[in-house]
Amino acid sequence: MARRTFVAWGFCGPFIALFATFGVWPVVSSLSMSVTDITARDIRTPFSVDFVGVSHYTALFGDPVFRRAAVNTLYFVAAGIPLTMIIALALAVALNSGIRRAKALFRVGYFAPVVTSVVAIAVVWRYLYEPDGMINSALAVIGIHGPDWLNDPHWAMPALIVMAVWRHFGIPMVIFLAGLQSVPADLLESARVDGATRWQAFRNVTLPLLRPTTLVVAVLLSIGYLQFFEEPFVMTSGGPLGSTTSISYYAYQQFGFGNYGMASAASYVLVAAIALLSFVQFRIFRAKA
Amino acid sequence: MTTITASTTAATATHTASRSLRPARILLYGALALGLIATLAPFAWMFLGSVKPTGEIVAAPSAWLPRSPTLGNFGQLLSKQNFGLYFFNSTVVAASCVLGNLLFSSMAGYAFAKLDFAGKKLLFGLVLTMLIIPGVTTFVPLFVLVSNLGMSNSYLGLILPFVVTPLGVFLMRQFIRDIPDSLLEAARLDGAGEVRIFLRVVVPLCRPPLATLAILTFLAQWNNFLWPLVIAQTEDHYTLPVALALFSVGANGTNYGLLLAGAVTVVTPIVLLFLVLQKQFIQGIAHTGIK
Amino acid sequence: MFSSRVAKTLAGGAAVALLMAGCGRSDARSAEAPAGAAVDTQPANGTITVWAMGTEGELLPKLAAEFSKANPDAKVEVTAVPWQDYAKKVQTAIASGDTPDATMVGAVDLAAFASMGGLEKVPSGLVDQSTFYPGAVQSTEFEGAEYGVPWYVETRSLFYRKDLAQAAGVSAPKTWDEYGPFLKALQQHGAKWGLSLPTGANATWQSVVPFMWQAGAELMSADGKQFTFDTPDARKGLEFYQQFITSKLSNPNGPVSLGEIEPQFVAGSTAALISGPWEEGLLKSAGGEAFVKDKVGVAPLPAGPKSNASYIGGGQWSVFKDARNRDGAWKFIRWMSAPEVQKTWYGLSGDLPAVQSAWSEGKLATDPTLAVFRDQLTTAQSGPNTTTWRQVTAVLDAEFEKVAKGVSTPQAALKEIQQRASTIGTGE
Repeated sequence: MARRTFVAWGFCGPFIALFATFGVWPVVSSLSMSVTDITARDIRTPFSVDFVGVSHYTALFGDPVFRRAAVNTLYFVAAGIPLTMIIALALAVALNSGIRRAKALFRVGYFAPVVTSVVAIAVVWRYLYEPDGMINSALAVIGIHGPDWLNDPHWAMPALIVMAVWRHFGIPMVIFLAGLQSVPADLLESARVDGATRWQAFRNVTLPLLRPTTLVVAVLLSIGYLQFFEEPFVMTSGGPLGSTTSISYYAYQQFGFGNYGMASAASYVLVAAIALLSFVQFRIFRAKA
Repeated sequence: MTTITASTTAATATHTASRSLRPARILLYGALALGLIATLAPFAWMFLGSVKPTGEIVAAPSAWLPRSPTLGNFGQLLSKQNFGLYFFNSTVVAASCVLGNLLFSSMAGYAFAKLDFAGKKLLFGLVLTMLIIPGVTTFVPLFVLVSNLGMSNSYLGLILPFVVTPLGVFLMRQFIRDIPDSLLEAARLDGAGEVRIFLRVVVPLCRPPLATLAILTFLAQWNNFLWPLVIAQTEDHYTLPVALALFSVGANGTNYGLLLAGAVTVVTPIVLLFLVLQKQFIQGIAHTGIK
Repeated sequence: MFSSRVAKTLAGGAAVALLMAGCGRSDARSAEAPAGAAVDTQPANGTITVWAMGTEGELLPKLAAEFSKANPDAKVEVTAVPWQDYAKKVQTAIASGDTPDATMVGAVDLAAFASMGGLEKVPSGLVDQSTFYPGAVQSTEFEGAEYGVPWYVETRSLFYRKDLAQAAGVSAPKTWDEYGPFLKALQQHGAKWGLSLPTGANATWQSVVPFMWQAGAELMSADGKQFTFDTPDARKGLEFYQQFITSKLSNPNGPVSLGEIEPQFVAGSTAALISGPWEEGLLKSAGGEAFVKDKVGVAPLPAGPKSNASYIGGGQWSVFKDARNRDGAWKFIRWMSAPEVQKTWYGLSGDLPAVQSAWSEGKLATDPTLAVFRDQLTTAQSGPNTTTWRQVTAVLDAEFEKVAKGVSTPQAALKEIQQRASTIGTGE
């Protein structure tokens, strides 16, 4: 038995050593920063800062800019996750429906946005969203007068949500595709034989079997989407009128101001939110499964 | 966007295989193609933009097709001193992180999935917790650590912080857990040691999650900007994204031609990698995603 | 060496434990000399490592080669650093003590870097500060000492469509009173918007605060301990900014990203903008040489009740406390601030010299556009040098945006700015 333990540690030893050094240690440091008044000025003398307890955390919730950021983040998550999942699932179902021709092309094409560099693609999306840009030209064809997307406090967030969904549906699509491949074909066949419509078979057979896959997708998206940062960073700088400032963006700004304690506290609020949302999702999907 | 939503409803309606219904099939292909065009439109704009002179890129109203196509942006990019070196650095860093992740994550994943040792549950819990910590949180402490270890401005400093990731261990452990114990027991009865079992039985079965991990790691490291920026003290340790920012983003203006040409240069290798590995990738996700 | 670093890191871990035990900060800031130790006039020697941003970084090796000719025992190693996130790079370097000898610093960032304790004070007698433009010197000061030597400067003036002005029979405005009618005349000759103003994008304050300066506002009390935003003069300036938008001379949705405004200016839908010396190059690539020559006019900013003050930016040089070749670095910086070298650098890069006497001959003395910027530089100002200024500018940008979009009044905005800035404090 002792030998087995020895072998086990041999296998995970390298990982644990590196993980403890470069993963856990910085987290411990930053967590302790969040309860001190450390700023950029103290970084060379980290011993001489004051312990401030949870006052950063209370200050955060007293700051209207942070509260706005929290609401924006929730808005983004509440709209973005379902939208991404629906599109990813729909595409996965379509790609899995027995089409042969050009399947690989579709798969690669739909996955492509995942691999883009956000800075370059921001240039493109800004053009798409101009008042007389391509999206509004397309809307004009069907008689809709589109808004000035990125300058309108009501439409800037939806615009960023669409862009985020475009960038992120690829991986959930692949995960759903993989999940669908493990749904037994004969189960669907027998449902159809029993007179179920295609939609009914999908609702009553496929969807329940996909529940574990859905859980994984939901949790992965929650982790990613709660950290909503890149789109406002490159597209709107958090504006107009603060309508796209997210918690991550707020934390990034606080780091820029040198308020390391405050910035760390904001990040850990985010960590708590991710943990909470993941927990809730586990409860919902497990309970039904 | 409207086209995407349209395609999804159509796709949902015709979800199961039925080769008999020709109109439905044509509808499905049509919807998929429309969705694909909408998805790829920004890409097309990027590629077309990279062969436009800057004046045309920023022109209002903007046009799809270049009026006077030019390879000048790429020429300018390639003529930059050390461009080959930046490409090489990016490749070395990304490839090392991929190799490290594949090796250490599969070893640790095996231990977490199939071996017993004290503190296993606690450690794995820690790994799961670390999955949800945003990178911005730990940035400053990590930098102070790496530079105190004397590794700033070195390949080690660029690579080591990302050579293992919690995601990698999580993926590998999920996959290896599903390998039947009987397979391992049989090998043990044949007198094989754990190392031999790992190399001969586990690793060959792990190709799908390894491919997945390879793509995800490569993607993250190939596009990483902020870390290489702060850790590289001299230009000979710059990676591609840092060099591109240097050339294209100024204090008061942006060279959009160079930016788009650079983006094309950065994106192409990843698209190629995905093309090569996509089957394995999807299988890898299939096995880890479901359990 | 290596093990001592490991020990330092472990000590950092111990710090966490000590923190919990409540080992606090001491209030007394050690009194330091107002300037660094003097540097001799011997030629420099050894390797001097420096960071320079963007184009400056790409071109600096050419200038450094000249320095090596005069100082054969010295070698300057330049690392070009992207402008994007460069402040993070400098801050993390200071935090770890792992720095080069010297770095170029953007005007707004000096206070933040100096406050981290990472920069050396300028040695006494290194340069004669009175030879530089006053606004440039102002931006190197922090807590009563100088932490940088000005290198190049930039300021913003009024770019307008010369062809439209000619068609309308108007000439560039000299005062606030002439501003509106001038822009209106350009609008009547085809432009949708008279003047482009930022309305909330990053660094909106750099375009709006000058209106307050022009009205006579001072943003800090004389002792530098308090922000003074809520004053009648500041309000006058902000109301002037607001009326551009309310009288439809300016788009309430100003440009958000770099490169957005040039095509509109070229197309003629926006008739004027406020920008710096780099704008000519941008307009050339957006509209061509001929467009700039025939259709672009540049004039000093119109004067308000007090002055026509503009914002001054640019680059300066600072030496790190952890520099290995401190003397060599200061000698290199001293050399770069000589008028002759400043002229050479202008020739290489087009950056405007910070040293006034460098403008005495050649294109710098004769070019009419440069003459405009030269005039503008004599009154240009920089923002207050407090460590918290960056944080305050975020409040400014947000409140100015509210004024521009009509959801707040100048009075309410200034009250809010004053209140939030006081909470943030001056970092004292």
